[in-house]
Amino acid sequence: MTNMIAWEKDADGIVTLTMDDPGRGANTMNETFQRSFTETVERLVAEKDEIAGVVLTSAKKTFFAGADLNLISKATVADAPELTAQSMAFKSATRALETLGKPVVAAINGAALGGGLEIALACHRRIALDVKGSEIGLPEVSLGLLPGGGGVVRTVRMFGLQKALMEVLLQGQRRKPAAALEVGLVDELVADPAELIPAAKAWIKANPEAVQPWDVKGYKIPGGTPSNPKFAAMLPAFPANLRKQLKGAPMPAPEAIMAAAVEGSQVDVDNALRIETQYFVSLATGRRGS
Amino acid sequence: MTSEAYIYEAIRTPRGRGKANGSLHGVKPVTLVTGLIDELRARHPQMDTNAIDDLVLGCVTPVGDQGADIAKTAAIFAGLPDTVAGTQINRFCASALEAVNIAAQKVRAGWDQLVIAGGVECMSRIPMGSDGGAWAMDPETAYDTYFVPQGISADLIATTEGFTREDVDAYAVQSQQRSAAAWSAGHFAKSVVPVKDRNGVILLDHDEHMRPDTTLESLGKLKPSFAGIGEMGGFDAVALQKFHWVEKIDHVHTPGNSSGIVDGAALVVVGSEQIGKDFGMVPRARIVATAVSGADPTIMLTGPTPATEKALRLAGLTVDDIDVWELNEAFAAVVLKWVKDFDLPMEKVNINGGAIAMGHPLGATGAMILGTVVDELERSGGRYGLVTLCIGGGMGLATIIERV
Repeated sequence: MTNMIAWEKDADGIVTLTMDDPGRGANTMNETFQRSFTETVERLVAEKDEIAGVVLTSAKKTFFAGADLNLISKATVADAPELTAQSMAFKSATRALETLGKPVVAAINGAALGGGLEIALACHRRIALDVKGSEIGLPEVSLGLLPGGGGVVRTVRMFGLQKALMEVLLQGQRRKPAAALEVGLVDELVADPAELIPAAKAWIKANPEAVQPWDVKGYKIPGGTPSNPKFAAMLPAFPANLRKQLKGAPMPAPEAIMAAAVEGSQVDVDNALRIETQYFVSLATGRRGS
Repeated sequence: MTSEAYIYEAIRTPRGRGKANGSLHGVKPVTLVTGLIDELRARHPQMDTNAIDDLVLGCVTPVGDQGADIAKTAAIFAGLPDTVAGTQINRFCASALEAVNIAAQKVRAGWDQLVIAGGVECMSRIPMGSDGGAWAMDPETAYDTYFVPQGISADLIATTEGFTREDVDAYAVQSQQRSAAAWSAGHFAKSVVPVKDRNGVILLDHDEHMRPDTTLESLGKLKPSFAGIGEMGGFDAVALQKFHWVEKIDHVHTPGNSSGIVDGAALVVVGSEQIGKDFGMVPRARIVATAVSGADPTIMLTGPTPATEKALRLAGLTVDDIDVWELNEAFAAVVLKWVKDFDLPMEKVNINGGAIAMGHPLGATGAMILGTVVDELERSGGRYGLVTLCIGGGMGLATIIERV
């Protein structure tokens, strides 16, 4: 089977990875992608000494369309082990990517929603093309799901619990590139498609030692976690206000997102990713109904 | 050999205001306990401390210098024999009464003969809630179980029972007046042991949280304590989703009609009949029944009613048999509801005041008010007393004692 992610290395040793699902109009989190992504990351790890950095982009009009809802909507409780394994395999690849030791830039040429943004969050820099129709966000909550590809874990570590929950996760806001820049989901905008890859490569050359903030020793989640007395004093109002907003509606996703965010903030990244998967699978399989 | 469990002694520290300007703020929790252990040895020099099996102490926020088993720490620091063990327990606000009940159960089972029970809480030093906990701090747990803070629960009781702001404030005025009267009449003279510094200089010899000049008018000026978190914190909505037949919560509780935040400790000597004979100690009361129960966790503070019913059933007694009724004044509405549930005459309830005036050092209060009942039975010549407390999580604890 072919790899849907094209590999192209330039004279500076920068590898451009271009996602292009041959069977579909958009890239989605399907089996082809997952296999291709894992293989590609394995190759990056194997050849990292000959690589200066990585640019991840898409040949489609959009960057990445997110999860394959056809697969998820059919899941039952019996699928939990398989879904868990798939989710963790993907996360293991994203961890390998962000800890590669080489700068990795997401060149977001179009919409990056859900899984698409989650892949980009596993990169050290996100540069988005400011193009009409492009949307960036984690709208899983509106589908009764949570961002199960590291979106909860990484936005919490980027923004702190309160901002990640309120401005990204619980309402699943979709933002135009400029608004995504403002909130901090992307780091830089370019106006012209021709500028995108050069901008990514320029950042790689300027930042040869890129590392995620949460992989730096001494990193602390902004705004604190439940072990911080100031944050702990506010925390009990989080679920209460959520219940107030939902007015008793049987919607399990927002609670699962909040729980995964808070629980994940109390452990290391890898355990946080596991907790996120557990809540994701509970929603996807309908175990967490109400 | 099994035995009845007897109370031989019940002492407490005065209660210091639970703030940096409180007289006990500079005193370590372990020191409050060792001061009382010293007093026990002084009052009962014939009691061989080698006979003490265990020191059971309530403490609700057992972290920092209340952490790591404050009971055994205090036993060691007080110079009790190495064979005297110690354990810290947490039944939230009823911890010290639970400690007494555990002591009674140990003695009545025959496994232990002499147990010191009580509790300590320095709320000015270790703030309430600083030990975290999943109920309030874990969103999944809190969301699924309709967690709200106790003040919301107290206001919900007032709402569902129809107690007005005037009702709860009037009860608070009574608490202040009765506490002041009990102090001036010397009703606490036997139980209160002044706290001294390391040179024997007295730091505090009275309950300093009291405001005997309190009136309905002065209380009426206070703002409700829990309206803000009820609205902004979302907790009213949580409570009302569970109690969906209630239209809105009437926030009647203020700092003036809720228990005071204070520092303090208390100890109760519980032993078998044989212990009294061995050391020439006269039992003051018999522990007739101990009961723990529970109620809805969101309204939370209604547990004293099922606990009282259970204790009466276990004791084979009726409401009319009880001469002295004591319910911790966590919030005024808690007392009013319990009084209403059993149709109690107010002149038999909390007659020496309570925690609204004198304060509620969480881990110690249960033993303090048990001591108050022991003293009151002796003073009034009554026979049975019942002590109970409402408890976080919707629990209730009750103990019935008989003067002997």
